[in-house]
Amino acid sequence: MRILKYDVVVIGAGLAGERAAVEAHRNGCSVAILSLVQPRQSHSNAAQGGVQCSLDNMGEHSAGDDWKLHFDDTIRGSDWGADQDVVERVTSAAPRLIRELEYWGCPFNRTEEGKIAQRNFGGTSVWRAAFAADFTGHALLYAIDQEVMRHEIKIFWRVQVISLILNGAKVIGCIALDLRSGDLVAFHAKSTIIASGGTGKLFSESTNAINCRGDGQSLAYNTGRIPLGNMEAIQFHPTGMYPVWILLTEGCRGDGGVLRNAQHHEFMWDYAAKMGNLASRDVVSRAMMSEIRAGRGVEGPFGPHVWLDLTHLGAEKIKTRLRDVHDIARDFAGIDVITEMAPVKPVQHYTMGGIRTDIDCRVRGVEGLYASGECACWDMHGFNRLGGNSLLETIAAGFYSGTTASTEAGGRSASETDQKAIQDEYNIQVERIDTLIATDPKETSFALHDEMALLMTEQVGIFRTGELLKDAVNRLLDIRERSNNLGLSCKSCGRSLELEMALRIHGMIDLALIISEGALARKESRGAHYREDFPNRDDEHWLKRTLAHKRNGEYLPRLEYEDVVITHLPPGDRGYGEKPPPAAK
Amino acid sequence: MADNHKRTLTFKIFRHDPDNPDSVPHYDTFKLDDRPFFSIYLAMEEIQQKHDPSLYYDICCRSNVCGSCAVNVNGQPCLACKSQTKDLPDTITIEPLRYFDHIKDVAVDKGRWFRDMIMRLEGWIHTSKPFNEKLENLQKADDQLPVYEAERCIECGICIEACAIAHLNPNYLGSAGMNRAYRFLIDTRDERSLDEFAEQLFTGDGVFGCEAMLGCRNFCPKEIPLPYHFGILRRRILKRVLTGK
Repeated sequence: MRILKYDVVVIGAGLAGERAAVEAHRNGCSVAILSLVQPRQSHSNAAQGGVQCSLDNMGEHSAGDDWKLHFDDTIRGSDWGADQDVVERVTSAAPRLIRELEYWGCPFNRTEEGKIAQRNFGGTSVWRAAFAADFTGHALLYAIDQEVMRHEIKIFWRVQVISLILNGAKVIGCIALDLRSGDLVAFHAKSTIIASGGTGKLFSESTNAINCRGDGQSLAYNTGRIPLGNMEAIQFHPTGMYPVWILLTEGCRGDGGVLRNAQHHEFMWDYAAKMGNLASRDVVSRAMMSEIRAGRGVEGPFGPHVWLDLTHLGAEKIKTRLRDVHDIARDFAGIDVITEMAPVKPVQHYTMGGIRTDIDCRVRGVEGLYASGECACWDMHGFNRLGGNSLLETIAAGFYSGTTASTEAGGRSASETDQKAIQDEYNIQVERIDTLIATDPKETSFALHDEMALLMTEQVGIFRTGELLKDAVNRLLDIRERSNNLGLSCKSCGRSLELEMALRIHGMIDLALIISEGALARKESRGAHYREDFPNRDDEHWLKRTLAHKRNGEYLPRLEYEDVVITHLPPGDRGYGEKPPPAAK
Repeated sequence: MADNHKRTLTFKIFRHDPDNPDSVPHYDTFKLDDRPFFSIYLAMEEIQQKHDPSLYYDICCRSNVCGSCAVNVNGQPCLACKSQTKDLPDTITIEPLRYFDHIKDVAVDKGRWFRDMIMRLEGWIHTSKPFNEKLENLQKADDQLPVYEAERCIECGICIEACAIAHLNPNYLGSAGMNRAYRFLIDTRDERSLDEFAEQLFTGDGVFGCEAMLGCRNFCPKEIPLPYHFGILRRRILKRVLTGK
């Protein structure tokens, strides 16, 4: 057994993971980052439009902006589901954290004065999103990775973490599969940070990368000690490009683009009288689906869609500020957005819920484990995340989780019993893989995945009902049961996509069950969670966060609820002028 | 186009596992029906998931932003996600990039090469200015734009694969390296002078290695003007060498 020892081990090399690693290194810790993919290829790359921070660099367009306004926008966006102490901390730290990224070299667009430029975004009261054209995630990731390189922080890539190692209630590292050699490696750490991203691939229609499969959430849930928060809070992005489901940034509408139905009517003002095309994503997604349901969508070979119209923006604006949108539409759908409208439909985009942490990013239920970024439920986004707040969260949570993990690592020393705990977990994982390899497949993980993902899109999507959710839970239970018949036809441990998927499919189905069960239990509509049978927000009963705990020997989680932290802004109207969507016929 | 989708495509895929002593390099053939929006990535996914689970390939973002899925299609380097079958003939051969460390089938490791390149160029901002949390560095929009243009590189490795010089000289930094050096050299926030890049750039492994065959320009999936960046570097260096300025 190969054991590698570090003060801090970070799972994931996206923005949150690398930012955490830089911070832990700065605090004097030895740090290793573990990544599924080569550095700089994580899904953070795909964030396009911008990162929210109240720099107030845009004159009249950002006049009066400060952390408090950013805070208010975020809470309204979250439909009062977010923890306000966390949001206060993040929004007030944002200008410093984003300026630091600029200092590290991120090529943000500039104002006339040479300051960081900001653009308009959905659900915000002023122009606040700092941006590098429409490739902001990429620019930020490269800037942070440059710091990782400068400090020569160790990074292992093409490795898949398949379990956490616990000694009692203390996480002391993880077991990782070297995807190239097929060897298992134990990482022994004083602090472990999960920063593994979202769960988009639970849905068949998602803007997410192939590797957004909820690995980190499954690792935590499988310990049986750690609750997952608000997993039913799934964001559907209004402008997934039809039919390949690649994101077209909200910056399209921030820069003046509009949504149109089959009759070319700019319908958003019918649904959100005050904010129109720039209402929050949950509101816009529901409006688009309402248009489609009312028969005003555009029929196409892959189902109906609506239009995103950028044709009035002009070639120069599109080719500079929305350049990747232009290229993506051309390369993947054969559309020239300068002269043609782009077909779009809301699709899964972001996982608001995740591994429940406290305000310092400590994971609840265990010691020595931290979580940051999309995999975590910090909880900064509640039931709907504002565009540009995800990039901010990765940077902020990276900073805070790195700080906490490294500070607390100093106070921990390896226990005598660690060695046995590592060996035991290692043996369990060896046996797990050996069993998979020795079994011939009655079911394949890919077929189970496709069945699950289609079900999630069709029944646990934008419009939810008790009936559909109940049926989804039952069918997921059947899929989960069948996943026990998994085996492998490819008998190699290394270089096997089949094994990689087989090691995570159970966790993915568990997460799908948690989402569906949580959505079924939440008998109200809040943010992105919309129940047609309970169309109103119900603060009296549901101003609460769902916590899903693993139950021994059962597929369904035990659901608990906790109060949301409210410090400044009591629940009220979101301010979008939203009219409820018409009921389904 | 409609008729085109009724055709059957023949995929010939390079198969070899260098870590398995019994593995012999060969091509496997798979036949799939063409369809709208079908791509090399989607074809490989279907083959791996439904026909041959042992096929190994790389994919991540599937939207031309991460650079992981570069392969050779009919002898030309490209991103699997971006290469749609509508632009390709009935028979499609998929092979790994030849330049990089071969892992299995059509997957290679590009990470080591790019990490080494960045270390050689010290690819990060060098500044003596302390961080000021109250005000960012001021930079003119005209100075930011070319930095962003170069920063759009997604490290897919296609420019290196498409470069004959890179295949002949393993130390050659190639267009990806030149582009990265250019990105820092023109960045007003980086205080390094041209001379500080001399050891890496003023040599045959740097700007003088290029013989202007322009494979990098032809195949860059982000359409970065690599020869232009190269040209600016070369002009500045020649001026420095010839005039001392």
